[in-house]
Amino acid sequence: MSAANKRYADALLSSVNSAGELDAVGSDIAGLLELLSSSEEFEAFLQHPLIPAEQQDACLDKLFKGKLDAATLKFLHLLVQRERLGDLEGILEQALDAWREAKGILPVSVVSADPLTSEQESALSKKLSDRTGKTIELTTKTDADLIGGFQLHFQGIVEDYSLAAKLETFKRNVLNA
Amino acid sequence: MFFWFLVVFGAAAFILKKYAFGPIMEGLDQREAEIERSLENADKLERELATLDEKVAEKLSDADQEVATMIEDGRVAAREAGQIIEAKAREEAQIVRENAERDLASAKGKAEGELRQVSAETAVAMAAKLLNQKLDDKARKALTDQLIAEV
Repeated sequence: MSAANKRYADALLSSVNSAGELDAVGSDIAGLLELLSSSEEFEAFLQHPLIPAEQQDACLDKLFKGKLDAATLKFLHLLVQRERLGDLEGILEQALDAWREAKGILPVSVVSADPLTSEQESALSKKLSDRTGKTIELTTKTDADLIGGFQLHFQGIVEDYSLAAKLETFKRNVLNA
Repeated sequence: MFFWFLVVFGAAAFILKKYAFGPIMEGLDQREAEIERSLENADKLERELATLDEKVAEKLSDADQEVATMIEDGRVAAREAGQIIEAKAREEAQIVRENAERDLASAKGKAEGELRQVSAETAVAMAAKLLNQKLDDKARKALTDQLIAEV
């Protein structure tokens, strides 16, 4: 996490003038990050040192004009101008965090022993929303090693509600007895 | 005849007295003095010898006393040295015993800890296996619901 990336991310969000535009920029950030993780060619284009700025601008217009919000596209051209396009992924990650903060969204990753039902996801989101006062953005995955229950990962901490953790606690208590 | 005998005798006596008896008597006197000196020397030597004997006896007595003292001192020193060596040996034996007891306690504690660790891990592994086998879908869902309520 670099300070320069943070400054560019803040610049992107501060260029937004309305709530509607904020939603659009947030959607653009998520879409661009998705594209970066799925397309090696796009990643290579961003990192290539020999592509002239004019060509980069032209490619960006060709790829994203009409598809991204004007503020987002303008920001990409700014990165070309400042020769920071190679740092786009890091900047977008920072921007996504800042965007979520601005929208009051808390991303929570749930790792569960069994897939959660939609009712369980809703109940969990509500519980967390009541606790934090934020809108919960839940992502889920499974890990059979947990035996039962789940883990919550958010804001750099882990809350463990798994049977594996309870057994581990039991084991520690036995060993410390 | 008798007269001439007397004259000859007198003349002989006079000559003998004048020329022989004097030196002889003087020689005898000297001899007597020498003998007396020798006797005195012998007495003196005898006395000195007696004194010397006493001194030798005294010296021998002193030497005996000194040797006895040295032997006694040696005996005391040997006894003290023996006591020191014995105390040192006892101290070292105590240290060895304490080290052995500590090592034993440490090994015992370690073995107990390992046993506890293995027991706990085995119990947890068995519990995990049992839970995986015994929890059906319904029970798993109920468990997850219950845990969500705890969040």
